[in-house]
Amino acid sequence: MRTFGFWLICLSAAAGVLAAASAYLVSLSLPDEQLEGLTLAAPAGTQAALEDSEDPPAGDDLSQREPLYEVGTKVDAAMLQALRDQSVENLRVKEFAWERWRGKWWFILAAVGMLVGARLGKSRSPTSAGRVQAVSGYDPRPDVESLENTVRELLAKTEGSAESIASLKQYLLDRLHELQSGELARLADARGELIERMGLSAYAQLTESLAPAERHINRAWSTAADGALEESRASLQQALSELAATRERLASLG
Amino acid sequence: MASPQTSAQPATASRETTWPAIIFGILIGALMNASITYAGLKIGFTIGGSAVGAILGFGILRGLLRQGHILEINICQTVASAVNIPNSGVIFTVPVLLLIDHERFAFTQDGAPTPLFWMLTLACSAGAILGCAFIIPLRKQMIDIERLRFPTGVAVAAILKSPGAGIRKTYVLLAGILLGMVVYLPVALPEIIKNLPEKSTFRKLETVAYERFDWRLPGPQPAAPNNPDDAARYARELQDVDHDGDDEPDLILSNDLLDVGRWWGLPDEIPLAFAIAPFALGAGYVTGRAGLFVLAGGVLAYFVLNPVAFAWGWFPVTVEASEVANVSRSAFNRPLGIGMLLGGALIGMLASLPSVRAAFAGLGKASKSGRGSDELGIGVLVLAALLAIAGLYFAADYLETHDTSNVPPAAEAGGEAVDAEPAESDGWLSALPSHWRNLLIALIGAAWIWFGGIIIAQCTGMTDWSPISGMALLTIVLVMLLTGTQNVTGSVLIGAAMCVAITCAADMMQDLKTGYMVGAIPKRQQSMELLLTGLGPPITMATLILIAATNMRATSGEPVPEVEPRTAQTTEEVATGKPMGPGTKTEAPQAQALQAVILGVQGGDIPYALYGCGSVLGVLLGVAAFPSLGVLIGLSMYLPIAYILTYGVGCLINMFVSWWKGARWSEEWGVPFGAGLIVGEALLSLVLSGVDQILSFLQA
Repeated sequence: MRTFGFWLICLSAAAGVLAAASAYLVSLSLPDEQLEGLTLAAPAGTQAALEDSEDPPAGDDLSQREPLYEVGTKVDAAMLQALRDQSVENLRVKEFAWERWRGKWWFILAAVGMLVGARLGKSRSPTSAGRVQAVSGYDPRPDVESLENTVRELLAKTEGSAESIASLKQYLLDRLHELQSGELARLADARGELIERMGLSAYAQLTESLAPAERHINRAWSTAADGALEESRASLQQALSELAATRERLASLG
Repeated sequence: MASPQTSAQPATASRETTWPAIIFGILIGALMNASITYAGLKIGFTIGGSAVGAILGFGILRGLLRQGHILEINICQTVASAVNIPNSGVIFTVPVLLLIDHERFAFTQDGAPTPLFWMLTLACSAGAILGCAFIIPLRKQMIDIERLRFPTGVAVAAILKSPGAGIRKTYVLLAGILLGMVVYLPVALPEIIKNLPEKSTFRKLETVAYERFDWRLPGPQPAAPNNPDDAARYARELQDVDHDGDDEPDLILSNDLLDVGRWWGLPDEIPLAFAIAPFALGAGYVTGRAGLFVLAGGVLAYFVLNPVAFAWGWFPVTVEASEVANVSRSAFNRPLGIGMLLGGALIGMLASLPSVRAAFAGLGKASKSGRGSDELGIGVLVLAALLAIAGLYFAADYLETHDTSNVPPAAEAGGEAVDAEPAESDGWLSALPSHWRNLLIALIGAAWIWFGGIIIAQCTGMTDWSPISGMALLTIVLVMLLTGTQNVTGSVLIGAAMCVAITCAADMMQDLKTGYMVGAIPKRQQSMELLLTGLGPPITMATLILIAATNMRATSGEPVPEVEPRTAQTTEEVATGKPMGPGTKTEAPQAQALQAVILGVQGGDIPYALYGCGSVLGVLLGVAAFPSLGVLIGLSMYLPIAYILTYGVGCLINMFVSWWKGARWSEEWGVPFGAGLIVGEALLSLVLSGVDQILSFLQA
């Protein structure tokens, strides 16, 4: 049913776009009184008679590319006769009228189709970026706790360590990179699922501390890469307090 | 040999907002601004400056000065892009005045810039500040909560992180940059070569490249005629494969296009051609699967709507199959796409309201606590916005009260051929006294900037494409409707300010994404952008005037100060050169498109129904699938399909690599490579446009 809903939305969108594109198109089969006085929004007809153009002469025949009537010309009876003689079927005009719009019922049908398709595909839960989460039943708490523990461990390891700056720096870079591509990436990937479960407002509240925590971890990485280990530690300290706040928020949200 | 350091004390203190970073950022930004202004006026689109700013920042701060920390270079690139980016908004709008009525716009009799020039500069600077001030409160929503991708922001972060990411990743990034430059070279180089003097040695390069080492592939040749009776058949078949009229089949692989449709023999109304654009490929890769919705929009417009409309006889009979894509873009793809974009953005904003509320609540809380907030406070932003609105009002009001000569209807002013008689009409606000009307327009403009800024930032965040040209057209139309169709100058002034604002908004969000990924403190980046982005418009405007003066000399031989300004009383042509547009080296394609729209509005030709239908479809797509779908589909309906297809290939490669090697591998190794492609093209474009600009000035 969801697949059907998806295809219904696609087909309806295509039909809707096609119907919309005909909004300023008028058929020459309409009675003259409905057409006279309108203004051309696109050229109409050709200087060369269409029936003569089946065997184009060698070289460019510019008359075939020359329209009979230019943009802005008012439609009158003589024009209509000349265009009908050339078997022209449609005109693009500047004025829109609901009653002249040939695609209006298709447009309405397309709109209904999209709404029905939405109803059928309701169980689908894409993120705003259109990604359907592959993670199922994801629990963020273990990842947040793991982040907290690792950050605490890194702080302990770098405090008054006897190791050289180079080795400490590499250690920090490696461990922080693991966090970035592990726990933090999983939390980011689970965004759609978390929003579906918690609601957007609750998720937004969660990011009040989770996003700064991630940013501080990123800062710890950048400053470590530049050898500014003390600042890296300060960032880790800030990340730790934000992670604690995140853990508490998760607990309160259940 | 120095003994190893044995404590965790820092070898150096980390630096972030430093004078060298700010000064070099301004210098780099000013250089990029001038170069990109010139390139944009030639080719019709601009290059973002962040990646180039990051690379040059590394080169100068780290390479030459032996300093430059990651966060410091981030500030350098933030400043550089803040100074550079307003050029997009300016060059898509302001040059239209040069096309319509250049004598009055550019110089007074004694050669000094006119008041209009200064007021435009003031309005654009006000717009730049307004764009930044309005988008800053949405950082939390777009980056922390929505987690928009911002591919170029990710690419810049990859560059910034390269010193700590390990040598192998740096090689991957450099390989991407190199490949991007090599692939883009045949696209960019001919533009320079054709500007060189005929006898130049470099001019021979093109001949050598095409005659001795021709990599290009011609399309299938029709069978030669066997007898005179067969000549008509040959002419017809040749006409089908020769659209440029050189009596040779067009190329399948040219400098900038791989025409697979021609290769496979698809009908001409189905333009299956891929742009040779490393930037688009890289951006597609970095975006990944979500970018497929952009591809879907392109497919819908160019492979469903246009061919069906052509088959059903909806185009004039004089339109050939190969012209369908171009004709349909202005006839219905663009208004439908822009409408869809607006509808999609509207539904997206409604859906995001909870997160916007949460973001504002967070800001408010931080402002109240008054300590240690990482975000710029609401008070500062309100003050900046009020000052900018006041600047905008002053510029609009001064222009109206001190420079009452309206630009004559474009048809009389030497614009393109107009088929309809210009129909001057009063704007919706024409009945108001001028001061109140200008104040109201400044306020409406501010509201539109907020909405437009969100749309552009969302588009850039999701796809890396910025619908600035479409928004520029819509903005000018909106202001003309408000102020009256004869008020082209005032409309362009407000429109230019709005366009500058929305480009600055998108760029700022991109820089903040980069900052998030390297751990920068948002407040510092925000302060820098807010303080320095106003420098951009004067640089762009000065470059614009310089280019106009050079073009006028080159096309008339008359020195610029001798140009007589045209008054409103006379529309008689004065014997001067052309400042811009067809026949000059800077054709300003976007300004020409805008001129056509202005002429259309003056002729009463606004396809309201198409905008309306597009908006309804955008809203419905948002309701039916997910809120931003209308934005993604609408955006790609009027962009050139060749770029959309290349971008789509990037998305598909990402999906394939993720399936083959795993999502983490794709992110770890693929993204730096994709980032390299983006940066390579931007870097080469900038260098070549700089060279081109110098050569042009030397020639003139």
